[in-house]
Amino acid sequence: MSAKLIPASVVVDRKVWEAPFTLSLLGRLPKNVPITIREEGEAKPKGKRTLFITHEPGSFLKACPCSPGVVECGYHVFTLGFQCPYACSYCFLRFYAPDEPLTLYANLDDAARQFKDAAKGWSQPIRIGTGEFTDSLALDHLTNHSAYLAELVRPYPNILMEVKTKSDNVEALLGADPPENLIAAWSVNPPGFIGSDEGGTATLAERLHAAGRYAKAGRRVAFHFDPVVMVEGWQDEYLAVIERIFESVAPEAVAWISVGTLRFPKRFIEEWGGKLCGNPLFFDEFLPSPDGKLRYFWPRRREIYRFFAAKVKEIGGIGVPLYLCMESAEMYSSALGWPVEEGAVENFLTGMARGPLLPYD
Amino acid sequence: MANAVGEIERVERGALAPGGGRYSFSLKSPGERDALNDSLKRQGQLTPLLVVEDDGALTVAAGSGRFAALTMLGAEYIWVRRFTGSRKSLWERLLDEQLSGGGLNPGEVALYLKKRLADTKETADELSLGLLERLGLPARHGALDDPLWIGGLEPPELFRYAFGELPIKGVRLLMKAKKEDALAILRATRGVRLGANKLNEVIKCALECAWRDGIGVQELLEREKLGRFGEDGETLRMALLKLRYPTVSEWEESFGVDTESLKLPGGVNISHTPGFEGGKLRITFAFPSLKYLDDNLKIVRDKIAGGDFASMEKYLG
Repeated sequence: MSAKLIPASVVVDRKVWEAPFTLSLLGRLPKNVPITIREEGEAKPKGKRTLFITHEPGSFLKACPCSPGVVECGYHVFTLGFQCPYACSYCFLRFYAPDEPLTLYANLDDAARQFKDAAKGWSQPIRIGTGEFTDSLALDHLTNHSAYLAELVRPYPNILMEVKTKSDNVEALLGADPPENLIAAWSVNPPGFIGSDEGGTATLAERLHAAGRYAKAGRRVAFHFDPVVMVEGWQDEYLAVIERIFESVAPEAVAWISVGTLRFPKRFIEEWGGKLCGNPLFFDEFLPSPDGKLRYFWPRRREIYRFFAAKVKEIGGIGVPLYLCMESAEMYSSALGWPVEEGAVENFLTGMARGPLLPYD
Repeated sequence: MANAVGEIERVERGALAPGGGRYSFSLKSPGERDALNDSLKRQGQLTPLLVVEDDGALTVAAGSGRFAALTMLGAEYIWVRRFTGSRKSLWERLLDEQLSGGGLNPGEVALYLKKRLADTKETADELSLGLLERLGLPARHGALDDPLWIGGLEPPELFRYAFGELPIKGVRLLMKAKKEDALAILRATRGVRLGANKLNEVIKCALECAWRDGIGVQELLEREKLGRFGEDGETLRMALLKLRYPTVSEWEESFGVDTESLKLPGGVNISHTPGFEGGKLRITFAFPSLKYLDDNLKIVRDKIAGGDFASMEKYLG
């Protein structure tokens, strides 16, 4: 089991100093971590080793910020925090928010209210996740978000809540008696790549062990191959990961698998290129896609997706739903033979549409 | 500051030392220099030079161009005014004089800052925000990064920048690179004829190839024998594109060969999307009459039916 993350310091906004979430978190914090109260108007702390507990005045729940021109999967994001404690070389947060502290929102009652209000309007199944702007479980031993989410979604079986992580921090989650609609998801990559480019995260073995424990508890898991990187021998490397996934969990326990290739905004290389010198990963043959992001050359991307679709089907069987993240309808059609229409991916993943829509039947 | 400037006086030309290397930040184009020479020839010296005493020598601080021109014209006496104030106030005065003749180009801003800091021993952070505004820069010290970088360029590149020969986007890319990499690219592109977008492409490809291989740009250019293209910027650009995008270049080349071998009639063209994205091709027909179109459609249909288009399959889907 990997070591549990502890922030170097904690800064708490005066406004949420006495919020139940704050008091509970501070109670779980080791005594040697310095805590500071931030008064209104004082500068916000900087750096991801600092945990910043504050108030979110806006919306906790939003449609996933997809990319223009790509197939949407109907995902919603439920943002309980911002910034990730890990140091993945490719992470968009490095580009968009390099100095942001590890931010957690203490007004969870507001979040719950917004969630319940939205849930009233959702009669159909819907997918929501907390891992878009942070790692959902990396700090769960402090935040206990899993218990909060378990109780929040328990009355709504049509809402599939996904907690996404690169940690193996599932103790609190397992202890929370998670409902069946609380899905734990792991981002996965070949072990060598995790070691070189996903600093501070759990190893693949640790992640899969945690996934196995959650599946053994009768709950569903998901996996995200995102970003897939064309490292040397990538087919063998990723094949081994797929095999290990299905050695760790039964195919029936897998809610979905997503595949997305490495992509980044053009300005990422302009900004970070010099600092990434000697890491060929970022200087592969990337070309601008219609949404302006740089992606692998079309035929190479197509090869990746065809490979994953074939291997997941071969090893996990056709019952394992696989979808592409941030890809065009042309790519769905070309790589998976699936001429997607609006809402098709969403319906497929929430189990509302099977059979004729299965892309690789 | 006005008190620091003496009355106008006439001194022998031989008593004056040139101070351009230390004080001049004016970057005049050849046309501007010719115009100055003509004016001095026709009207003589109308404005006194500003001089300072440096190590006992009367040195020209403002008017180096005029001093050079007057020397060339054989003037025996030159009108000057002596400056006796502090070094900082001298540089304020020099800026005033330059601004009174019009704005500064980016190269001049860069040189002013570089030479002022060297002469006064001020640090960039000590410069007032008001001074930055007078130089046409945003009033924050971060705005000094670009001009200080530009001020460190070698003269040919400094002139290329000052006279707008380097595209802004390209300069931005270069400024984020290591200085030796930036200078290697600038040296390799001296004299090349390329539009702004293509020059940006050269800069981007050279940097990214070097970063990919974990080496310096100079080493890359030498390894790939890309240092000596003279003015042939297009060949340099193509060579770098091939190096940066080998598979894409290969596809581009094979697409050209494959479409050529289709021997399509005049006015019929096949093209692909940028980067072959989307796996679709486009065929266009230009036609002066409906009969011409009908004939060409038939030719293309026959070629598809006869399997001539099999080579296009690779680019589809």
